[in-house]
Amino acid sequence: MADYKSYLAANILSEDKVITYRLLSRALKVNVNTAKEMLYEFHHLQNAKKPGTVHATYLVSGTKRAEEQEASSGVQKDGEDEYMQSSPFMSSSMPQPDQDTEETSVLSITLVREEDLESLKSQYEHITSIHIYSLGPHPLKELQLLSDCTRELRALTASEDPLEYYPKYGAITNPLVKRRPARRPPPPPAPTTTSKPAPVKQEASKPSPAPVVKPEPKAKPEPKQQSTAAKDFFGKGKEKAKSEAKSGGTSAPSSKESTPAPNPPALKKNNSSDIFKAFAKAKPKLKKEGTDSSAAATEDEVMKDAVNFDDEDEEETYVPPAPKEESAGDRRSRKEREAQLRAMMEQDDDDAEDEVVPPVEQPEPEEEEETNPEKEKEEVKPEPEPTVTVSGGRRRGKRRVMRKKTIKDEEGYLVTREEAVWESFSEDEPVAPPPKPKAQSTTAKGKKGAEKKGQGSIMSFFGKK
Amino acid sequence: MAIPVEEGSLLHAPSDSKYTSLTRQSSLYKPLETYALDKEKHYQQQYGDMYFLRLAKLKPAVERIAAEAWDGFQIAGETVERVDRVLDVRQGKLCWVAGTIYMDMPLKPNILDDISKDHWTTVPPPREKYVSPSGEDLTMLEDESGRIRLIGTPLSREMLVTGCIIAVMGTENADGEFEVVDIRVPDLPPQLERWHTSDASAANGVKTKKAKAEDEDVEMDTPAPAPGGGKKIAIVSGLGFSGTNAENSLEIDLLTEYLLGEALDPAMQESASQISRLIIAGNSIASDGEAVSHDTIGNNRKSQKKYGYDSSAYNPAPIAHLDNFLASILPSMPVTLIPGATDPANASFPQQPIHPAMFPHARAYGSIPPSAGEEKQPGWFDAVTNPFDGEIEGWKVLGTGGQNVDDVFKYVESEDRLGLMEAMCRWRCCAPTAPDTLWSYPFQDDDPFVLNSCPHLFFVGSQPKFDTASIEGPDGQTVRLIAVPRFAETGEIVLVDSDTLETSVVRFAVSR
Repeated sequence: MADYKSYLAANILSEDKVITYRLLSRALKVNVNTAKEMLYEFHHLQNAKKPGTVHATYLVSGTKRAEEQEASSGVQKDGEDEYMQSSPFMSSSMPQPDQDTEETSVLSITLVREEDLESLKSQYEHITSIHIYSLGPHPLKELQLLSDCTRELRALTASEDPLEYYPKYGAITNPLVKRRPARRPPPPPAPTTTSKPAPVKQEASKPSPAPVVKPEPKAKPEPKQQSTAAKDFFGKGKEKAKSEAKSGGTSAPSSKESTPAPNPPALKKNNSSDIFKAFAKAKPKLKKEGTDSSAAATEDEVMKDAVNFDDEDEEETYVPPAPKEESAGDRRSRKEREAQLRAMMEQDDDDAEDEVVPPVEQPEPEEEEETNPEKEKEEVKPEPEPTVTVSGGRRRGKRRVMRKKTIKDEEGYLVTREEAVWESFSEDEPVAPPPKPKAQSTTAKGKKGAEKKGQGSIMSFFGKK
Repeated sequence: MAIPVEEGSLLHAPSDSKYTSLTRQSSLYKPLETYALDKEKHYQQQYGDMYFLRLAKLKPAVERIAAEAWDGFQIAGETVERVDRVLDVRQGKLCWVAGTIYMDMPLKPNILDDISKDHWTTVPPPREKYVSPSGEDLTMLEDESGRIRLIGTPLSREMLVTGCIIAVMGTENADGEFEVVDIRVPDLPPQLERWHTSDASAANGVKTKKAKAEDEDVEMDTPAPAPGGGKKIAIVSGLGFSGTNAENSLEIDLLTEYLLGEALDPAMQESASQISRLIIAGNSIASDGEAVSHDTIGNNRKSQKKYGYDSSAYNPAPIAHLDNFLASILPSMPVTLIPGATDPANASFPQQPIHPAMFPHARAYGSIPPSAGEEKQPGWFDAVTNPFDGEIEGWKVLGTGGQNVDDVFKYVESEDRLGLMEAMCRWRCCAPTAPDTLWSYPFQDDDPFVLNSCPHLFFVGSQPKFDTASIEGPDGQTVRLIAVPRFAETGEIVLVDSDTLETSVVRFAVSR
């Protein structure tokens, strides 16, 4: 029992946190009603010792006085009356607004600061229930801040199966609940929950941390370690991340307690970015250990996983997240690799079963595409080569072509512009000889490419087909 | 600080008393796919067919009522005669005719305006009402043969909007206008008694369901209140999850805690456990005006195909919050999700269910694909169409996200939302202004907006304030009408008693 006092003292007085009854019940694994009483007891004792050190908010329910309700129902009466008088055919069964609104009881549930409690109580005709909602070291200026606690709470309980734990906390259970039997673990909610509507507009351009369980690269040791990706990402000190990763093995799925991330998860995108990270980690090691081809093979496997992940497939199994510690060097080169991998993903996203041969030429990073959409238009980028995959006599890949696009500009003129776009293709032709993709690229490529490499003979254009 | 201890107060030191966990009431639920569209939708059809279908379906009903009222009716010695088609109306002859109303309103949106839009310097804001203040609106009655203008005092007393089917009695004057003496509407459709269909199909295959079906039978034999009496259905609308605004998040948290039975004292928790189902009636996501305004014609940055989505043009936060909200409610209670005007579903009526892929957490509770030979079962988390048609606790329920009422509202001067809802029931059409000003799918074979049978409960979401009434039809039908207020503005949810269909309101507030 003294247990909760030290917990509350540590969190409220020392760490300056606001603790709601739900948070307390989750932290100590007690019934919510007990938690409410604990809060009261602590509040009582602490303020007896030293008044003004702990500030509470109360949740009050009951019926408010009549005049309050007038306001909500009074308007309706007028409209209704008028309408009825002037609607003869409805008279067979007139709505009975007066009667109805009287019957309608309103239960008001109000959250209030300790300081305003008395004035709120005077508004109530009858109070059916009251309890402490939260305790904090200071009076809360903005009660909406309490919703942060809900987020924290979600992070805390993310690893728990609600069906199992809800009764423990005293939530109403439902024996009839139906859940899909074989389901893949949903993305851990931590980053999602943390990115609840923020008063400030979120910068959408910031890459969001990956909340998704990652497929684990084969070469990883200690498969049970935690993903501390989110922490890493938000610069919470790499040291910390590292140490956590080391100690993480013991406290299995609690990685979700990670710091609030500003951006909500974008499933698809996150998946891929996760994979990129996993690669970024795996690759250097592999290079040390073996040849490039072996690295490529590993990549393939991961790719398959990754693609499956986007499917609606039910039979996926839980794959423990990959450890995430990274050295500074790793990080530096990570961006490049991400770019390479992204190119691979783009190139062959619908058919991962086929053997993927590493691209003939690594495309230059198109990396900032997602993060920096405004820039990319103006930027003159090094021209990426079209990537071609050859598998089983089919060539498929992506190439860059010029498309004509007609748009209307600000002054209402039609402007035709040529733009380079990526287009995927697949051909049934026999495997092209190695130099071919290059030749093709010069012709199929856009203006910029042509400028660089000089104009090819027109005959090569016709001869190609 | 000493606070007097009220009843139901938890302001005391932790006691040794064990709090038992409560079990929620079961929910009997059978969604009907009245408004589900085929996977493959075609938009080549003409909308005119909808009016034709509606007239064909409702004309017999309204003519029967009109005939009852007007047969043998005499004015100045002249007996009223029935006329089949609008064009057959003869000048000076007292007659009655049935047809579709068309409101010719200069302020109604016009397709030609859309075309001339390019030449506007500034776009005028959308109109609140189409009613012209200077009385330039014309009311027409039309059918497949032609159209005639209606005039007369009954029109001003009557609420009429485009698309409703009525019968008018009167005479054509020298100007070719029809002077209306009286008006008749189809009135409420026939109503089936409670448990009509869900009883027959109660054998759902699942064990628990079967047990419940037996309960049901017992209930049928003894019309006394059900064993688990006092069951409630919670309806909430306009949760308004937003990506830029966190104003309501605490109210929504309180709502979650209340529904889960965590907030308040054991007695209140007990009453919360009576809530057997949550219905979300539209507009769970707040509309983000900002995002739309960025989208200009000259913006060609989207031309580049990207892997994944363009995060600069799309903010996934609101739907993620909705998903979290659902995922925390679902372990305890089933949820029916009706899309609304601002939700990520198709814009035209009937809106199709929000795709479960939007809800990575909540969809674990979604419907389980039926194995071969099994009947499809509604999911614990059921994303449904708007309008929603189904049976809950044996009652036939019709609910919408609110667009139908909001659109009809623009045609009339009245501010009375319940009156509009009642009128819709009496027109036997839950979306009369589709496809004129309410966007709609071009139906070819059937107009599903025509009510074939009368619902027991008709609720409409996203209304400015809570309102309820009970209306009765000529054959003893009773309909409970509920205007569900927007939660984001009022903090109110509506609880409907599943035995009596009585309503009560729970209001969540945070003192400023």
